[in-house]
Formats: sequence, structure tokens, C-alpha cells
Amino acid sequence: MTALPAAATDPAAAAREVPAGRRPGWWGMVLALVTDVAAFAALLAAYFYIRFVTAGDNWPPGDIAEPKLLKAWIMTALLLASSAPLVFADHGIKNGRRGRMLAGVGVTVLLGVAFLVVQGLEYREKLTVEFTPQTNAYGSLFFAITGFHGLHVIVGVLALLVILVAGLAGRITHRHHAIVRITGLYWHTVGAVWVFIFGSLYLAAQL
Amino acid sequence: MTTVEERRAADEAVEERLAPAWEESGGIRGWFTTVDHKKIGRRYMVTAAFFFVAAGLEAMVMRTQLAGARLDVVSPELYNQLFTLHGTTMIFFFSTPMLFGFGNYLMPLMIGARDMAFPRLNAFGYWVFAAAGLLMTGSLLFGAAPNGGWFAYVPLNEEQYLPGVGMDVYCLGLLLLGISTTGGAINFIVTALTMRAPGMSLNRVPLFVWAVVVQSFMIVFALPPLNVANLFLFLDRRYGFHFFDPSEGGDPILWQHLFWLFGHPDVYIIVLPALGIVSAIVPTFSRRPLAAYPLVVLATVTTGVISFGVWVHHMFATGLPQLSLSFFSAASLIVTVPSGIQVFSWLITIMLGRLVVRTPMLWVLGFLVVFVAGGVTGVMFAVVPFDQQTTDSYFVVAHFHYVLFGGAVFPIIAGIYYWFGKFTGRMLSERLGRWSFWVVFAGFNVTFFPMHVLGLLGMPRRVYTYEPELGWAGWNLVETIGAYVLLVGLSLILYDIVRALRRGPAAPDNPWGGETLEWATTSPPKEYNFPVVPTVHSLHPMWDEKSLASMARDRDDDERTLTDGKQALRTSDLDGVPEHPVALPRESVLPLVVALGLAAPTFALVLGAPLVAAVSALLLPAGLFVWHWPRAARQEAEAARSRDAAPAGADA
Repeated sequence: MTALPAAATDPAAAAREVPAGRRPGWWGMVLALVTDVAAFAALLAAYFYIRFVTAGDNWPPGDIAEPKLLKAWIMTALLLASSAPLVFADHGIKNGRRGRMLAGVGVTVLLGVAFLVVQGLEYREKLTVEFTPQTNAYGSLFFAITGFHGLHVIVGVLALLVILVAGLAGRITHRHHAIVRITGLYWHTVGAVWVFIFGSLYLAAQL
Repeated sequence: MTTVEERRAADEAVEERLAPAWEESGGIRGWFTTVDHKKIGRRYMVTAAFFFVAAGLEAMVMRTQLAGARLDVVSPELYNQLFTLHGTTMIFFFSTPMLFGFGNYLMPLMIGARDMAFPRLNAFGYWVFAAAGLLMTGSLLFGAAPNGGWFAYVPLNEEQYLPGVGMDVYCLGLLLLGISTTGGAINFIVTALTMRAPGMSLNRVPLFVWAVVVQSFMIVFALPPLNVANLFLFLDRRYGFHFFDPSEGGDPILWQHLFWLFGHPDVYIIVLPALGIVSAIVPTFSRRPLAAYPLVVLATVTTGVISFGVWVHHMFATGLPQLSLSFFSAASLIVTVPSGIQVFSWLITIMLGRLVVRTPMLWVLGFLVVFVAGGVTGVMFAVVPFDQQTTDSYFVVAHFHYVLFGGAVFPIIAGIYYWFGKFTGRMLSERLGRWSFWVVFAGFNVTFFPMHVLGLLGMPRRVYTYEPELGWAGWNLVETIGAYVLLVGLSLILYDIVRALRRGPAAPDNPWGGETLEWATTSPPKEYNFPVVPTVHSLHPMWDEKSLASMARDRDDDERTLTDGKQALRTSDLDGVPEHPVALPRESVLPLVVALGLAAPTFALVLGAPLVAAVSALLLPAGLFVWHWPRAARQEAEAARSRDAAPAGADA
């Protein structure tokens, strides 16, 4: 049926007691994400350093209000929800169901774009009414961190669009679908990183 | 006994089937499209050597300026650019890329693979590195080189105190280089994890490969803080952000934390693979296996881990709380333990073996002396009160030249003498090698030892001159004379290389009787490295009859010759059990195109043309799209069609 049980019950695979068939590309993406998550960790560490070592009690500094949460909750919901259809797409193509893959990837793209639209609205509100990156170190950090993450979502949406086009052109089959799994790995990680950004920049800023 | 003749005959039997799939274009076209790890490795080494020469000449100008008190060889402004560029180039554009060159060339050979896991990423990494180096070194010609010191402390390096384009070159050049280095590191890890020859379980991996893998893991974790710091500095300088600006809630110490969180691991990022070279050379010339191989592997890994907990010893004078100073002081003392294990392993190997001193080993012996001396002053810096007395003095300059020149350049030169035959097919001269060693060794110590003394006398680093009544002129003159001796010694090596390339004697396959698999290939190796993928039965495949025999025996085994296209063997991650062949990409211009998509916007940003940057950046997604466009399904369908179309047995 699916590829995985066959690989696990294959006598040769059983004999060496290791999961067979991690592709070099899969490992490459895992390591790229490790270094990427480390970059986000450095960004968040800089944020907490400025907040707790440099700034003291008044946070956000100056007369900047605590970040409003409504849009951020919506963004969080959109990005977390967007991972499910991608898993659905991945399972679909593994069983040769191209329609499922196209539908799943399509829904993920829509949710990703919706995230970016809400982020754009939030940016417009902040930049015109509240603060800009040039206002103070808080503004610089807020836009650098959320902007770097937004860039990751844009890259993810572009990669998913490539999959969509390739899927329509019949380039992704039940034998050759590593690109879906590997891009999924990236997308889920970008979603998980957002949870930390949301927790640090929005929720924890209320405290 | 498997003779060389038997292996040759086996090789020739498979070669004509392999050659068409592995052949690459020659000439100009091949120059831009190659994905061969050996050509890319050689390019890395030659380009890094070019930067070494440039940064070395910058140092000669500085030493000339400092030869006496109140000299006027260069202006203070130019001197600032010289010492900044010298440090930045030596650390970022010589050491790491040079060792990446060794890694690129040797890792696939040492693990019995036919290429790296991602050959096109490899080519891409080289192009990006070359562009970043060109930007950095080229800026000196326009008087626009970085001028705020190689660790670019703020607030000095903020725009209002250091206007001009110099530090923008620094930020963007290092960000560009960071992409190349990270890609290369990922490539090394995945190659070592997935492409090892059958039978090469983790306890049979050569130490040099281990060292490169640990180095690569360190890069994966250490470069992000540096990249974040450089991004912040660039945004501060160019777009008025306030990350490091205390008047708007920023913090200058944040820069130091981010920079040294990268910066101290970077010392080991440079030194570990160099120690790997030493671990490759010592057994060969001691005529016995390395003592305590598992301990040395563990020591290498431990060094990599602990080095992330010591960065604050670069900041002992910044007024941090006492408690954190104590913690980082202790961590900095502990990191000497794994280094000590490695040194004792080499010493015991030499003691228990039959030492043969040829040029590569001579350099290794010199390395041992110099590196241990640098290590001893390193321990002194771990002690807070001593560090606070000598920080920013010439004592620091003496220390890190002993560690980096001694710990990296000596092994690199040893490696050049050791593997030159493999790289080029020609042997270097033993006599010139010995001469150059003794001249460099003398010149090195005469240059850098007096810096300890001057540091203790209070001479600060980064001064373009000093007053005559301070009494520093004598020692400085000695140092400058030493520097010229050093220059002569290094020039001898360059002369030897040029001479050998033109009329050196041909290199045998295994000139020194080495133990690892690179010596099983021809000198220089064929495009596919190993006609028959070897099966490894021990840590010393070249000293072990069963491993050697596999390369002759398996010549009729399709699973070891892999002649069905450009293929390498995927083996299991831990045990090196063969899994399946993987197809490797053919030569391609894509890596160059995508690298241009990064380099062109960087150059445009430096020149202050954001529109040009935005437009040229479009090359990036376009190139990546073509690169990642899935082809396998279509190729498989076409292959199946052509099989069906051909009558059965027609192609037999």
C-alpha cells in the first residue's frame, strides 16, 4: 500500500534496524531549518536582552502601548491551520492521489496569503499610528523580527506555488514527491516559529 | 596480497563505462559550470591563498609603519583600513575557506564517495564566497575598506562616528559570506552522514572528516548570531534603526554578546579542521594508527560544544556581573581539557611509533610547539584579573597569532605538502620544503614572540605609531625584521608550488604510505574518484588487506561500480550499510546564476542603488525555480518509454 510499511518490513531494512530512505535533501532541509531557527533564537534573545537587561520596567518603552492582540490571534490561527491541509496533501500524493495534493497545497497557499494580508494590515496600522522601526530599539526589534518571519512566509508561499504548478504539469507522482515532504518540513517549522514570536512579542509584552 | 597492478586492471575495466556519465566540459564553459568537488575544492584553496597573500601584504605595510617610532609610511586613516581588512580577511576569507577547500577536496575521497551530497550547492558556495571576498578586498583599492576593527564594536562603528561606505562593505560582505559558509557546512554534514563507503560505520570515519563535521555543526549554530548582528548594524547605519543606540533604548553590549557568541566558536571553527589535518598526518609519519582514536573524536565533539559557553571571556573588561565572569572563566579553563587530549594523543602516537620526519611532519612538529605556546597564553586569558590587565594590548595580538598562525597556518602548509601530489599530480621539493619550514619557523617566532613583551610593557593594539620615549622601538624593529624573514619563508613555498606545477616529479598514488582512502585513487583522481566503490573493513583501509581487495574484487558488481549514469551510493547514516544509488546532478550554470542573484544586489546596496538591487535580486527566485523544478518523474517516464521502444536485448 504505502511506501513506509514496505520499507520497514523489508528484511534488509529490518536487519540494519534503522529507518530506511531519508534522502540527502531531507537532511539538508533539516539542517537548514536548524540554522534558521538558531537565527530566530538570536533575534528573540536580542529582544529579551533589550527588554530585561537594558530597558527595565517600562515595556514597551516610551508611550508605545502594549501590542493589540486581535490581529495577532487571527494570524496565529491562520498559520497553524495552514499546516493541516499540507499534511493532507503529503499523504495524498504518497498514495498517488494528485487531486488531494493539489487541493491541500492550494488551501495552504490561501491561508499563507491571508496571513500575509493580515500582517500587512497590522504593519499599516503600526507604521501610521503607533511606531516605526526608526522610533526606538523596540520598534527596530519588532519590525526586524516580524519582518524576517514574514519573509519566510513569502518564501514558503512561493515554494508551494512551484509545487502547485509542478503538480498540475504532472511532475509530482506517487514515486517522486520528496519536494512536497521537504517543503512541508519548512512550512511547519515557519509556523512553529511564529508561535514563539507571538508568545514573546505579543503575549509576554502584556505582562 | 592485492597488488596495485590488480587494482589498476580492475579500474580500467570499469572506467570506459563511467567516463561518459562523469565527463564535464573543458575550457571557459567548464569554468562556469563545473560541479566537481575536486575542482571546487582546488578553487577554494587557490582563492583563499590569494586572500592570504593580500592580507599578508597588508600586514607587511603595517609592520613597516611600526618599525620605528613616529614613522610616516601610511596615514592613520589607511592604517585603520589595513588592520581591519587584515583581520577580517585572515579570519573570514582565508582560514575557513582554505579549510573548506581541503574539506571539499578530501572529504568525499576519504569516505570513499564519488562527490559531495549536493554538488551544485557546492559550486554555488564557491561563487558566493568569491564574490564576497572580491567585495571586501577590492574595497581597499577604492579607499573604502572597512576601518572599524575586525570585530566592529559599536558605538564606534555606528554611522555618526564612522561615516562612509567601509563598514557597510563589512556588514554586507560578511552576510554574503555567511550564506556560502552555511551552505557548505550543511553539505559537509549531509555528505558525511549519507555518502560514506559501505562498511564505514561511525567508528571508522577518519579524524579529519570528524573534525570537518564538528566544524560544520558549529557553523550551523554559530553563524546565525553573527548574521543577526551584521543585519542589525547595517540597518542601524543605513536606515536609522536603533538596535545599538543607547539614546533610543538600544544597547552596545548587545553587539558584543552577539558577535562573540559567534566569535569564540569561530576560533574552533578554524582550528578544529586544522587539527584534523594534523591527525591525518601524524599516523602516516609515525607508521602506526593514531593513539586513542575514540577519545580524540570525543574531544573534538566536546570542544565544539564547550566553545559555545566561553564567549564572555572576550568581554571581561566590559563591567559584567562578577558571577558571570566566574562562570565564563571556569568554562574557558575547562575547554583546554579536550585540546590537551588531542595534543597528548599525537605525542603518544609519535612516541610509540617509528617517526619519519619528512616535510609535512616537520610542519606538524613546528605546529605542536607553537600551538601549545599559544594555548598556554590562552589559559592565562581565562583568568579574569590577568585578562583585565592585558586586554587590548599586544599580548592579545601575540596570543592569537600563536593560536591562529600556529594552529591553522602551520597545519595548512603541512597539508599542502602532504596532499599536493594528490591535488595536482606533482610532488613538491623536499629540500625547499625544509628550508621554507625553518625560515618560516624562525621568522614567525621573531615576529610574534616580542609582542608578548610589548603587550606587558603596555603597548596597545591598533595604534598606527608610538612616541620614541616609550622605549618600544627596539622590540618593534625586531618584529618587523622577523616579519620580512617570514615573508621570505612563505615566498619560498609559493616558489616551490609554481616550480612543482611546471616541472615537479610526477606523484605516485600513495607517496607517503597513508592510511585513508584518498590514497587509493590516482594522483590526481579521476572525475568519479573511485571506479569501484571500496568496501571498508577497518579504520585504516589502506593498511588493511580486506578493504584493498574489495576494490579489485567488486569490479563486476554493478552495485559497486554504479555505471548506470552519474551515480553515488547512499549508505545508512550510522553503520554505512549500502541502501541505494542516488543520481548526482550534471554540470550546470545555475549555481553561478543564483550566486549572481545574491552578489549583484549586495554590490548594488553597497553602492547605494536599492532599485538596481531589487531588480537584480529577481535572478534569485528565477534561478532557484529552475534549480528545483522537479525532473525525476519525467525522466523516469522517458527512460521507460525508450526501454519499451527498443527491442529486448538490443542494447546488450
